[in-house]
Amino acid sequence: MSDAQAAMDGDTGQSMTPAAPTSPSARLAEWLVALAPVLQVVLTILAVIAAIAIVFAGPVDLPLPLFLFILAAPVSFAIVAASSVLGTARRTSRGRVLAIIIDYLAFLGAFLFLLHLAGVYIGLDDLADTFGLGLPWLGLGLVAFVLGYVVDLVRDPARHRIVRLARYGLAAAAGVGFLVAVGAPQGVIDFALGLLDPLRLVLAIVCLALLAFLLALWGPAGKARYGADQRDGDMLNGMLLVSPNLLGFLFFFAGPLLFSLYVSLSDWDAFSRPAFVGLQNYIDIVSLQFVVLDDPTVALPPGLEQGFTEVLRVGSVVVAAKDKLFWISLRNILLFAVIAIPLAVVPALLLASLLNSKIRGVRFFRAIYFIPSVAGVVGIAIIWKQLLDATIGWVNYLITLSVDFLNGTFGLALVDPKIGWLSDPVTALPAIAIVFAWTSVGFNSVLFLAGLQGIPADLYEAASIDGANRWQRFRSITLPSVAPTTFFVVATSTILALQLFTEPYVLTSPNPGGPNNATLTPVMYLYNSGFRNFEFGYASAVAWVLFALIFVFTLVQYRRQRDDAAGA
Amino acid sequence: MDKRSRWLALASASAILVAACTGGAASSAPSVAPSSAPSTAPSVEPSAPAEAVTITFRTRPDNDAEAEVYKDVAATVSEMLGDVTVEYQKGGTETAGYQDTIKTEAAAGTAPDVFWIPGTDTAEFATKGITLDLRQYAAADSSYKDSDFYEGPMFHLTFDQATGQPGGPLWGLPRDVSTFGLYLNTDLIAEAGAEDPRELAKNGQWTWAKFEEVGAKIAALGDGVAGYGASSWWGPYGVWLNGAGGGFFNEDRTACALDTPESIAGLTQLKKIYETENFALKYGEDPEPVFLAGKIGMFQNGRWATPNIRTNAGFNWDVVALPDGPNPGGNWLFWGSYAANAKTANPEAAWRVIQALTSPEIQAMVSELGANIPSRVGDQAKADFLGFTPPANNQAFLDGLANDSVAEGPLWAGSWPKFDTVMGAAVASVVNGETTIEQFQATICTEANDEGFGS
Repeated sequence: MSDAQAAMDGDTGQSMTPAAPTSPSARLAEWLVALAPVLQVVLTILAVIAAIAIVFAGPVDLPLPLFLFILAAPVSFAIVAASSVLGTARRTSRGRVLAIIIDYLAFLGAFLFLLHLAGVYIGLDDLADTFGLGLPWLGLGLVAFVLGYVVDLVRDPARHRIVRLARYGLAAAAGVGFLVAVGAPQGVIDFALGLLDPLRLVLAIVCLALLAFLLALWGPAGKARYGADQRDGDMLNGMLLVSPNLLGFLFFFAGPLLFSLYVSLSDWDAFSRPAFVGLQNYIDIVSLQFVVLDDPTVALPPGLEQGFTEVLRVGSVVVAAKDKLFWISLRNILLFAVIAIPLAVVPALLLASLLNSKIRGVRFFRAIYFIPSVAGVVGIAIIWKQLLDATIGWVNYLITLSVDFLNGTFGLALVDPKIGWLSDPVTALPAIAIVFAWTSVGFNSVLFLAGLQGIPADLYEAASIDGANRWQRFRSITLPSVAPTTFFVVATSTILALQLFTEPYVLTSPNPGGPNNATLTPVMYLYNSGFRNFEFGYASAVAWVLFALIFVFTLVQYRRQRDDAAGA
Repeated sequence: MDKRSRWLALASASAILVAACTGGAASSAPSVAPSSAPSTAPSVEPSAPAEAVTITFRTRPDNDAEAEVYKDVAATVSEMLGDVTVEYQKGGTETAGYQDTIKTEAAAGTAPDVFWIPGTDTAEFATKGITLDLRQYAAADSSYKDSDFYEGPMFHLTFDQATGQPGGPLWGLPRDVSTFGLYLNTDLIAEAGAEDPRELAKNGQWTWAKFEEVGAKIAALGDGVAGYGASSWWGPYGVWLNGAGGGFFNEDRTACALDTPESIAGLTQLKKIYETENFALKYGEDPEPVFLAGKIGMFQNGRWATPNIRTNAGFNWDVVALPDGPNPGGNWLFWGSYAANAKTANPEAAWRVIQALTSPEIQAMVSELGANIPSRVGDQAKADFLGFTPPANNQAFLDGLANDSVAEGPLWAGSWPKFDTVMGAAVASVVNGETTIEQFQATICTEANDEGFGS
């Protein structure tokens, strides 16, 4: 018994001494595990070659930070792979873990590249068309699935067998029918024929080889050779479990995030090479100039610096900005938040209190109020646009009916306001706040409901015995008890409000952000900067400024909530 | 998760992967006929297809019916060319960022081979290197002449930045042209007892004053009825500035001209229309559904509104040309062009597809839908267009184009989106009463030049 094996036996308390391999697969696994250091050396060399090739190719058209970012991938891979070479050569459990990680990444890379060459990603574009053809068969599969529960209910053995056979038959028919309907046989043939291409064939063989090494290292042969303990197993299982999310996060979130930070420091139109401008974009965004006017009635304030435009005038003081639209969008979004957040939170709490009661059919109403949260925002906005139409919208129609009723019944002389909800700069933002609140209240009330259901009933009983009325119970028990939920709801509503885009974009089309920029939000502004004006550097800087704003808001709320909790 | 759920999840995931694999294989294997291939086989035998070429082609259809027409167009062009397969891609709407999507795809190198873009975007697409200069292919083609198309669009499509004159490169060919008309609810006009604008136009009396008169009579019907309605983008308000002899830009389109006395006269007329009580639908409201609900007497819109009105108007309607202001004419000549992707792998095939797409046969196919006016200047194209009724008075659109129309155009010396942002907000501010016309005149060009032209 090796030292490592002895140590492992000591760790786990179980004998892991491998029996002499009897089956061919076990022997193959042993052989692969023994060869693992060689594989790690090969992978290290390949990574080093890739890094050298990138260095020799130079940045070409890439900016230096982006070039270094790309270079970091093979360099990191080579370092970890080299560590795994040392580890596997010394037969340490750490070496096995590193080797598994490296082999897993190499397998994943080779497999994804093979899928790319096979055109599977392009095929995803056609998926909607193709998949629809198989939907009836999937319905049949669902019937077979449900039948599985029926099987358990049938006691009579003969009938049980018949139902079970029927279930398998249906499931098989559904599976085969689906595959034929979506044209899978042709797909498999095309995929197989594609392997005649030497590159694809080599990749397929590499994938299989890496998979075999991976399974061997992971399995009993690998555990035995490297003295793996329970902790290694747990760690690898955990890493495997989170790897899709982790890799997705690194490639599709963290990477672009860092890239956008770099872009925000450059002047870039997405077509040419970014020009590094340092903090100039940020300076342009926040630059303000204050001018005191001798004559407050003058239309064009004298003394404004080149590129500065008036944003605000208070008496004889003019506030001008280099980026007027950013400050207008900032004013709009803060105003929006002040209107929308209370509208999205307070009714949600009241609604949750109602939904928390044990009245008949309450579950139905819980579902109904939740629907706006899961419905598509664009669809909702289009419907609201029709509802808010000044001439033929239902909202103004109901107002007209109400005015007519009050005038007719009580002899009043009320004037029908005929509100131009979305065309009047004064009402456009509040109208969008109403739509936002309408979509948010259902989700927020579900959160509050969860908080309310966590309040012990005996607190209310005790308060009732002490003579507290309904309002007092709500104020002194409910509100403090749901404070953590309230913090969460307010924080998430604030973040959503500050990132407002879709509702005003759809509701105010064909002039998104109108009338007269009254509904322009920072996200809409950064979208316009990036995708209409193609100033991606500037748009990225706006995004980071917005991030800072949201971060500060959330931090302040968090601190306040923490202080309140500490005070209580 | 129990065993059954695991199997169900595994089966679903496998099914999705297999379906994707099938689609991908079909896409990457042109030998397999796709299920969505046109059912009508080409009647003409391909001339000598040495190698099959596929050209992807995208437009911005307003609705599914229009998208279907373009699918048929793609099939017909494939049939015409024989050795080129045209694959149609339905683009999103303008609100969904149609041009933004193409620009982003161009940056990523995945834009379609041939695509439609509005006239205002021509300069930006060309200067950023997104579109291909087709002049060398046109020069090699003896059947092609710039003069076959309306002069206005061709000025911009052949504009040479170096010389500041047309006749240089070729950034595409115009798909269609359009112009504004006033869609009339003739039932409302009759009910109001107003003069028929079509008769007034015939007699040369259709002026701004008569327009106000007719509109006021319609508005007097009450019950939320407005005499006039128009959208709030640059086109509808621009005609009032043009009609007064003004315009957005100076003559060589290198600076703002919104503060000239003529432009200010046009803006004053616009403000008057919206300030007169009940005369116009509130500025910024969408007029199309209100017109279709029978609540607007005169609705200003382009030819592209015709299919929807044909389908959904529950009243008698027709079209009349815009009324004449102090400077008769001044209607827009809207246009859009088919351009080729600068990175297309098959530039010559792309040129041939563009030529086919702008051929009289294909233009007639598209015009039949009702949304477009052919961009060719020949009499046959006009005769075909006049036959696509309703509206009965199709001539109103041709008159709008003929009478000193102003061609919609890009800004070769600046940024149209930025200029438009400043201008649109400032005009809305005047019409809504937040800013006076004097303030507008004093400030607009400083800001618009700064943003739009960087000066």
